[in-house]
Amino acid sequence: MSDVTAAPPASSPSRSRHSQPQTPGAAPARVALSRHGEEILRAVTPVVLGSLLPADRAARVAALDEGMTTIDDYLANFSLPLQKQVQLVFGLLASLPARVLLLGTWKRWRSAEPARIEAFLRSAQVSRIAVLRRFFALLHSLTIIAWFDQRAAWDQLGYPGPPIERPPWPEASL
Amino acid sequence: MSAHQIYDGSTLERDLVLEGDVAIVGTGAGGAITAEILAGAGLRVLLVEEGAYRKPEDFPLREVPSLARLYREGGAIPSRDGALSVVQGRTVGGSTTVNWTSSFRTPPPALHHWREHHGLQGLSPDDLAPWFEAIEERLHISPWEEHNRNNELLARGAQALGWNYGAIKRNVHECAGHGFCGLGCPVGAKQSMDRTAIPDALTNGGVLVTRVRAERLELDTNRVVGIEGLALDGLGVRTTGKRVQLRAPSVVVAGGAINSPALLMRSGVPDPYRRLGKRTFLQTHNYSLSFMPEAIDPFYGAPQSIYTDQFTWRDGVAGRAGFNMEVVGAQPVVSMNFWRGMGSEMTTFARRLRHLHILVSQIRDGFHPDSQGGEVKLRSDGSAVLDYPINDYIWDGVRSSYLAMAECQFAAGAESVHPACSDARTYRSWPEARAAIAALPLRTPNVFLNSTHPLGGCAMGGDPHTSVVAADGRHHQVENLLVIDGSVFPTSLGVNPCLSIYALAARNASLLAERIAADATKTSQTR
Ligand SMILES: Cc1cc2nc3c(=O)[nH]c(=O)nc-3n(C[C@H](O)[C@H](O)[C@H](O)COP(=O)(O)OP(=O)(O)OC[C@H]3O[C@@H](n4cnc5c(N)ncnc54)[C@H](O)[C@@H]3O)c2cc1C
Ligand code: SF4
Repeated sequence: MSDVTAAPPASSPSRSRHSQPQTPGAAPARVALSRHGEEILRAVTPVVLGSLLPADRAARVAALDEGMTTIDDYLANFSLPLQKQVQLVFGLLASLPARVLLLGTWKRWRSAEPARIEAFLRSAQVSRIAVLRRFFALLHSLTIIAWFDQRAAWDQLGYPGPPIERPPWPEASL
Repeated sequence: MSAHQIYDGSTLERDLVLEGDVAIVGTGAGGAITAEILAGAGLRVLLVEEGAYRKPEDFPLREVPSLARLYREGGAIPSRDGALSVVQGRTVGGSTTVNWTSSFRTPPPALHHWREHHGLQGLSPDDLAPWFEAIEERLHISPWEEHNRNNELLARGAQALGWNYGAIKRNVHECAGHGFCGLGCPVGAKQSMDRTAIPDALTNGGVLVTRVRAERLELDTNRVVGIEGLALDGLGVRTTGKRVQLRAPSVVVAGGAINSPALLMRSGVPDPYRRLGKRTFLQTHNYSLSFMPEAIDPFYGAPQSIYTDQFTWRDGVAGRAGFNMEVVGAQPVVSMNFWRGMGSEMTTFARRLRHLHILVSQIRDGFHPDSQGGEVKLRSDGSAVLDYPINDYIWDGVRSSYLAMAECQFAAGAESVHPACSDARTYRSWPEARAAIAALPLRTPNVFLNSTHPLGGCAMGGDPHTSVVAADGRHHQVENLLVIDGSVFPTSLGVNPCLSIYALAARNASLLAERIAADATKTSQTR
């Protein structure tokens, strides 16, 4: 695999990333998920998923970490124009005017009260402004992607998993 | 098997120039069948594909990484205004590698409409019958009888209501009924193009270049002289700077709807009547969610094996929007994504996933004056985007199919039904659902709309003023250019389209092989 300077090979990002030694607490390198995107999704996910997310703190953090890695890998396979569009949406939502207008707070997403985030999501979902309805659908959909492909989620769903155990994508696919 | 000649664009260390008799863009339903037939006729076939070549043992059966790698834009290509999304494969085998194997012949009402309104000769049900038979044999297309609970419930509802319904044929061989067709068949049972026509074409001397995007066709007056390709990195996202050139006297474009017209547009292919990209159809899909009293485990078993066409042609071909109906058999991410609840509702919903029964309706478009479809446009960087306006004609189809699906689910024993729409609620009985759906506000993107069946954009037709190619796939203006894929249909179909694409490809590739052979004989005689 050549020319993957900014991107991991078309193989398992989880494998390649997890095999790299990481400083504890250091933010993992992202390919496509912007800093703003990650901040917003980490705040939105618990609100959307409610008690589906593990209550135990460590398990919850692990679930969110895995979710963000999944989203990053998902977005990293988008075409560049679409990656850019998604980043623009997150940049916009993270901006101060958007926070004041939509969340009704000066605080950053990471410190906004869940009740405010929930109120924003519920009003965006049925807003008369089409673009807000679209933002809602994007955030909701990425939350689904973050959680429901995790083994921990499958137990809640009663989904026993794939019939055949397979490793993630092999390093070379040819 | 002789050694297959395959180049992976992501590992190319220098530019590549290949020469052959026929160069083909795309390895999906249209491109692969074309390649198999032409290579079988002894022609040197070159294939270029944007996606990678995956083997059955590679498929990890995990939803997100598979959607990310095997599909374009993660399986949700947004339309221009974000009102809906289109689902297309991007891998060797194209959408066939991830499709659900439901196989239908083109319905006769569509074929008659094409003859009457689009000047298409030679495509009657009788004309096409031998091509359908050949493909059905080639791809083991046969009836599937081991219906899972999910599909049985559609049959039960349809039967209770006296609707016409039947079993779906599938292109599978020794299928284990895993139900993971959408993530790539892990055991190679699905007779998708990556398992059948592509290896066959390679065995017969074809050359395949993967992870290379055909950027433009090089034109010299009224001929294509070559295909200019850009090599992509391992993710298939960024260009590596390496170039690939394919040279052949005949060029077949088979990138599928949206991307075939986009390639022609980018290349400046003559389009004197501005037909390129127009009339792109979606048979837009909308969905109805219901909970059954018993667990039905919709994750497993052949995903689709029962259909009903009760409503497809009910008001006549050119009447109100008709729709066919099938079930959705999928794994958690895809299933949960149809429902936009939050918090405690989300918890309640998710914990009943094993009971979830999902129906899909596909609203046929392109037959009515108010249904002219969408239009492919190019962004400033040359990439394609589909502009598809949802008008009252489509909304009428959405509402009537929501009603029909809810009625069917209650008739099958559902405890509750919830249209896949953010503005809908959960209904406990058919009368409640009927009243509520009749009054439901319909707006995007709250109504979940998508399409796995984009068609058109390089419409075939008898009249160059209103179409792009002729019935045999030949471009009206550029003499050695053909389009052979789902983009040539002048309307949608009213059924899942793949078998229609295979059969038309088989016909038009065979005609091309005959013409090339005849030209060769002529040339050798005049020598
Ligand atoms: C999830 C899913 C489920 C489906 N289920 C069914 C079903 O059950 N039954 C049914 O009948 N149909 C089904 N379909 C639809 C069916 O698979 C498609 O209609 C059919 O495969 C389209 O054939 P095609 O040749 O037009 O394009 P595709 O099969 O999509 O192939 C086009 C190929 O061309 C490549 N390409 C495009 N542009 C370029 C370029 N510029 N350079 C290089 N390569 C390029 C693409 O990457 C792609 O691999 C499904 C589709 C999907 C996505
Ligand atoms: S049901 Fe399973 S075995 Fe059968 S074709 Fe689909 S993925 Fe393959």
